[in-house]
Amino acid sequence: MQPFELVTPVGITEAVELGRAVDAVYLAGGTNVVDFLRTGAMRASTLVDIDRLPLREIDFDGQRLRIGALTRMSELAAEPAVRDRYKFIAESLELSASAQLRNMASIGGNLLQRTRCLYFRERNFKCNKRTPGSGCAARDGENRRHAILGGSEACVATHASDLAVALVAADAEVHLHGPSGEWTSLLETFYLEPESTPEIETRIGRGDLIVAVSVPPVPGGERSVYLKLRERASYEFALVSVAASVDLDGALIREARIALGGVATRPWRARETEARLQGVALDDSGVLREAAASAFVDARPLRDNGFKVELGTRAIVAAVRQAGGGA
Amino acid sequence: MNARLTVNGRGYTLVLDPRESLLDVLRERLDLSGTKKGCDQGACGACTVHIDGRRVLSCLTLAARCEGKQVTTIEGIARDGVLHPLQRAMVEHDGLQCGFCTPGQIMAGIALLEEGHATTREEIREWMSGNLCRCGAYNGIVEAIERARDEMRDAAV
Amino acid sequence: MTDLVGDPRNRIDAPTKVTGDARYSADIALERMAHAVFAVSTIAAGRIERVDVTEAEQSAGVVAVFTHETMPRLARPPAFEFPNIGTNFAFLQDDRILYAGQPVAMIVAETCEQAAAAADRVQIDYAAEAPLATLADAETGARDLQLLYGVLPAAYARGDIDEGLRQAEVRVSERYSFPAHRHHPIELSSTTAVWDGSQVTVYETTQGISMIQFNLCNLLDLDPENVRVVSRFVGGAFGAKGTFWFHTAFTVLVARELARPVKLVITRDQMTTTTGYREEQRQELTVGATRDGKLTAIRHHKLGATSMVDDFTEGSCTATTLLYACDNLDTGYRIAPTNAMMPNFMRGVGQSSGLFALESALDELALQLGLDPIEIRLRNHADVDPRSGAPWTSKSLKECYARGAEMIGWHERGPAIGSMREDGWLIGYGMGTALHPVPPRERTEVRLRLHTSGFVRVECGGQDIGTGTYTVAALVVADVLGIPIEAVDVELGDTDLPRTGNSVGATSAASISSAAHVAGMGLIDRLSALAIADPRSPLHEAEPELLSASGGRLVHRDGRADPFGEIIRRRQLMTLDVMSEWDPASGVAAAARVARRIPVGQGSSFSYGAWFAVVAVHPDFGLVRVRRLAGAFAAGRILNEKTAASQMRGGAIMGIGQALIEATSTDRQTARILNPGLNEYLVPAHADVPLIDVAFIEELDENINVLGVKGIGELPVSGVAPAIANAVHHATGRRIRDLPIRPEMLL
Repeated sequence: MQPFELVTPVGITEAVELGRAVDAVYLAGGTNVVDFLRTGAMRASTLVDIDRLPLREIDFDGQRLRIGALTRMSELAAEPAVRDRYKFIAESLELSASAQLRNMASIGGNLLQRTRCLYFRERNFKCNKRTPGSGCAARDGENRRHAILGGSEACVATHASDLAVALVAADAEVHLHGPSGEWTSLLETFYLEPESTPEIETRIGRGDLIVAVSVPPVPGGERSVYLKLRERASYEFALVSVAASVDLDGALIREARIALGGVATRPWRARETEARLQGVALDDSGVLREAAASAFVDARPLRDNGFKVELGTRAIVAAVRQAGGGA
Repeated sequence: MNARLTVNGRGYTLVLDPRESLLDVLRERLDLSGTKKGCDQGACGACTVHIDGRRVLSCLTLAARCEGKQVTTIEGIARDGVLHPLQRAMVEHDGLQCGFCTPGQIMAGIALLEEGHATTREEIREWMSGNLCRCGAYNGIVEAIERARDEMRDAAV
Repeated sequence: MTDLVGDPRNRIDAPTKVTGDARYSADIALERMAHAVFAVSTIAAGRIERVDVTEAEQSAGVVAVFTHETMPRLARPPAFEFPNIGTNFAFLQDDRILYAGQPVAMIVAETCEQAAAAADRVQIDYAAEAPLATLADAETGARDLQLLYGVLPAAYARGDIDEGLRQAEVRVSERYSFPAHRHHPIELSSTTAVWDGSQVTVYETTQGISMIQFNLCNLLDLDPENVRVVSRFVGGAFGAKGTFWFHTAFTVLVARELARPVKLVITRDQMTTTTGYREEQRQELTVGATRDGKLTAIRHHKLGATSMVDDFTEGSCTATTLLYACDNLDTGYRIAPTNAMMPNFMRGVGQSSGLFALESALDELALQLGLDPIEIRLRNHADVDPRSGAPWTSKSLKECYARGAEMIGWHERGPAIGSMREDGWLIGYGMGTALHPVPPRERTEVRLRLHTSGFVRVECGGQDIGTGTYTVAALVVADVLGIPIEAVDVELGDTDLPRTGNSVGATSAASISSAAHVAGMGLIDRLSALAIADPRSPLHEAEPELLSASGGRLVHRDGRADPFGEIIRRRQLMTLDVMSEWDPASGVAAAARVARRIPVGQGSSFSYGAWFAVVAVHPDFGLVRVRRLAGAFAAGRILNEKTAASQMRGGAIMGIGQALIEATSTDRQTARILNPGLNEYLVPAHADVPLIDVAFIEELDENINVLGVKGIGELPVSGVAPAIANAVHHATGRRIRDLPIRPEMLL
């Protein structure tokens, strides 16, 4: 990789000062950044090592969960409050990556991870995300793992984070410190669709540092499910994934939360599906199926990924059943 | 930049290029070649070491950031020539063929046992999936982990 | 040796591997060693118009940058021959680009980090042409292949295929396809070269140190006396390290040029475009049979993608020519040049791809006829070699079917499609035949050195790529001499040691074990002569036929004994060396004392096996998981059951990869490989692999070599993919003929 300066700020203020410089990149766990610097998919002249900042606490006050951005994936997955009340968050973490990577990678870094699109990662392919204006090689190329939702003429790269999918289903918020001060965003709207600027993936501004993620209570969270479908039995990104939480009133669904991974350019909250499931009996297969299918009404399949509509529909049905305590 | 690293209980003072991975420092600077470079891209697990007792990939770890941390490699596992139960079990159960992924499998396996993620065969397989073996010694590795787990549990009683 | 299946013994090199002490080729540290890395081409076809290395050369720590303009010349253009087929194209010698990922510069620096950074700064202007990426793009340019591997006639026919097809009452005629596969051994290929005057030592991770030595001498005009190749431990190969690749030659040249040791390591992504692969291929297979399931005709043709300048394709049709008794047969090959490097041998060469097609088709036939899949195979069992009528020197395939069926519980399966379920998953059972030729063995030399302590050192120049060669050599010698295996030390992997052959095609266990056996017998003969002639020996003037080796001593039938160490110490010798040469031809003759059915050189020899798979298919998602796998194998004498069983499991796992997971993905516009590394080219991980049950059928074959060893390295890869695909069919009714099987095919 190209040479860089490694600087270690003492506090958040100093970190933000250093991080706002052009060509400066924050370095937490490093699993994404070190890899991309090595392959050249990313360039930086300064790495701002934020890993020793005091952002590693997990707090649960009985209502709200607050996660320091430098918490490791493995730490969050092992946290009792998370396993008990936000089961799909723990599952999304433990189904990600490998044990070693989960010990290294931070929550903040996981949420900001770049896409696994092969045309993005390998240089010299046309990629609007890596080199704005150069084109999109995936649209006419191998696109089996690409998005059917949220894509544009400029980009159809899938978002890769499993954790983000579960957090979006949970209505999580992301808290940042930046040059303009502290600010908070709903995680769902923190992520942006590519449209004509795929190089802009989130609302993060230059120098902004994620310091924490907070999560309100999730109805049915103790039984919530992260269903991840992939060819290899483990250690692979999702073909299709569903984070589902279902709160029941007797045999009827009072409230469902559903978010999708592997199918969209950002973690995809399936609100139409959620709406249609309200008041429905958990064993009403017909309605479950229709509600699930509604998530894909606007899907734009490419040459190789059309199967994700059917697979995604079935996955939602299965995840909802499981989250409701059914088979 | 200057950095002081502690590897297998021993201190080293080095002048480091900030780009240098812990893996390259171990292999090229400290002549600890037991940790292997299989991919340098975080995919194979052959470079697994322990940092402060937790299993991590040394290829994606910048050496300069390891100051103040305890690094343990495969060379630091046997004590005075006495093999760890997992090392012994790997020999007995033929948990290796070419041996190249073996140090990484052992470092991951020891951590797995300490984490308590070896309760069932399925759990072992799932939690070891970050360590690839192209020779296909997986069955032997799982058996070795089970054997070591049982031995260590019996010894603790 | 008495037992046909050798007792399970621990690998003798296991302790050094579990402690991290074993040094592989890239683990060698030398003074003043410089680090080298390749920069590779981003286009797949065309020419280098301009290369500017100024910025690269000026980068921190850079020692030198070599391009096609400045790399020293090879002494002659490559012209390789079987079995170490190399490519006809040497990169870094001219401005041609024949494939993406082709090395276009070698950068040498003080550290590998500096070399990698400088490699990024080499600037190249290309004149690019439209490349041919995949078989679909290249098939219009396909041509017939005349010779397989450059030596065997490619096309083969017997009987009258048209007549055979006319006689068929049922027929299966389908196309089967394989994507390209990569070997991806976990150890990266690397070369470390160090010169001392006119002598060079080359640390190369390879399946053939002699092959490396030969090709270096040939290509660089060097004297074999001056070239030493060392490869004590090899971190997996599977064919990737069985061919001579040019990075070795250039590292040697650059080390000489720079007068420093140089270590070149191929990166993981670069492994994909520098160390060969199994080619993308398509097979058209027609099988015809009577209503009783007797085959009347098989037509099997294969189309393989190859490089622009080589004719390589693996022999996928070979198994078809000899597995079943079928009088009318027609097989042939076509190859289509593409902008890719030369494909080469990958474990399970030819057989694994060909048997996927054949064993799937047999299954389809069985289904049409309402026959059990094992039954249809038994009905077509070839009792003699159908190509020539020659007898098999040994064949126990029927026993493999029976044993494997028993292991998996075949007869408990419900034959109806989709009739079995477990935990909500559909369950299917399938089987497939495995086979591999017993290849010609190479002349092998082994030296034994006996010490007065009674320890014996075995030296031979072969290599252990994970197959257990160290252990095999030790246990054969220990067995012959009647000493514990702990008293044997083995040294391998150095061309300074006695010459032996390459670890390819399952040859080395047989060659080394045979040679070690002969050497051991030779040592006993020498010791006997010494003892008999020594008045101070208890065995003075004994009859040699009444002496045998036991417990580290030479023992007379009447009980008198003389320890080995004593025999030589009394003669004022600290050590005794015995050098033996084993020639495959003489090895067979050595067994001539035993009465045999088949005259020397007139039988056909193959190893066989049968794989049985149980898969679970998710009814909604189409996910396929292998629940159980069981295989029974007949491969002559099994030297060490423990390491042999591990070999079978390893091969099976590659078969799982073929069936369900592995595929090279090539961008059709640019002919660049999209998944060069291990993050994207997926191979089976722990969670993909169930317990794999392995059994060996005892088989005595005295025609092949003195110990009756057939070799097992390649055998277990074949038969797995069809077993899995057939099982998927049993579970779902879906017949998948294009690998890997993907969930969307089963929705």
